[in-house]
Amino acid sequence: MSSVSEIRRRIQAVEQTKKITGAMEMVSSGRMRRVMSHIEYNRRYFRYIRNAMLEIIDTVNDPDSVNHPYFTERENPTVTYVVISGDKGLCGSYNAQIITAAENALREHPTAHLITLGNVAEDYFVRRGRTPDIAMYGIVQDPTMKSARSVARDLMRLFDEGLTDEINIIYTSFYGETKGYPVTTRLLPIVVGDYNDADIGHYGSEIEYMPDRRAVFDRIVPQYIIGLLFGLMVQAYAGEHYARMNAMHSSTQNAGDMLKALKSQYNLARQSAITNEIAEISGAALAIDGK
Amino acid sequence: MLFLGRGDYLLAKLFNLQVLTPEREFFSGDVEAVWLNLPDGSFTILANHMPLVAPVAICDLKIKQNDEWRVAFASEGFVEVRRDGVLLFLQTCEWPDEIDARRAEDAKLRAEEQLRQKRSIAENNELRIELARAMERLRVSRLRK
Repeated sequence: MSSVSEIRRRIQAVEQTKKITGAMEMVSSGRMRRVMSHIEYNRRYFRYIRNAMLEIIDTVNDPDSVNHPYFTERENPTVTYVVISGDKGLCGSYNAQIITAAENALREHPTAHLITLGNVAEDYFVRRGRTPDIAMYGIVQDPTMKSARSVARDLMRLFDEGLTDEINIIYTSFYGETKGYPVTTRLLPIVVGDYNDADIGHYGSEIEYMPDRRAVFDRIVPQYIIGLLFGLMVQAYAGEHYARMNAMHSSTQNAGDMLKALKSQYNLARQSAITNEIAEISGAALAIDGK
Repeated sequence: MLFLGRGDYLLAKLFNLQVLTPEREFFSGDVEAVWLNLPDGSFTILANHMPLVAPVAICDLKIKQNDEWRVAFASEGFVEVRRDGVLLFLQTCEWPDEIDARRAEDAKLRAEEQLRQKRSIAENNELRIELARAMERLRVSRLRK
């Protein structure tokens, strides 16, 4: 059995760790709550903007008049995967799940380009000898409209210049049935068939477009992409903090259990040390008496 | 209805306005009029406007509610006028007291500085928008009560 002082030191260490995990849990739950409202509004914004876009497509008699490059699927596409992971660990299986999903996607498309948002995914793929083509920093820690705009602009440029023909985002969903699981969503090209839940056609041809359909359409499409990307980034952020909150919650609980066990061990050790001492003293006293 | 110019009119009829950004619902309620900028000029929407979809330029958005104009900063987006109300989709939208004037000032200087250096056309356009955004923000922030 370990000595009393050894156990005391372990108790102190566990107590310190418990304080840290407790604080991390608090921080993560606060951050998650802060972006939760974004998610709801983003979904509404996104649904409206998507419907507006589909209404335009729907009301056009001659589809070629809104023939936007972002709506054209190219043949033999060069696929790009954008992987959104965390910047830090200590969040349960959050990063591991995303990396597994990315690995599976890359196995299907061995020639695909890889873009990472978040240090964990980048480090993993660098270690595996599959260095990401582009690694973006400082975005997953603070998903803002500003960073969504700049990432969207960079991705659209890659698409415009023909460096890639299809852009997929692998992120952690924070909504509906897939909550907490990695999901792959296509960002570009926009395929109308991807959305079968849109309610379109309320107003049909009575809508007037100023100055014309094409100009409106060209304006809406980038907004749609930025809105979508921001939504995914926020979901991933909330997912990371949700995972971290849960992981830290169970760590704090485990630390409590450990402390309980250690404390009874400590008492046992202390008692047996005292018993030993008494036995020694009385033994010694007997030895003296017996002289 | 008697129209007296720039959204001032008698017998105001209300319509539902929703201003949405990817981050939040900025405004939702029944209003008398909305004043905003389209790329080719300012534009006022009153009740019973015909259905319309149009892009919105960076501007000071004015909303008339209870006989009172409220002004906000609006970044680019688009407006959808429907029979059942008006939807305004904007990248960002802020009331004057939400604007961080110092941040806007910094952004303005930064955009100007970057515009001075030679850049690609795409970057140039982006910076122009950035600059317009910063200048409009500053202007609206001065309306703070």
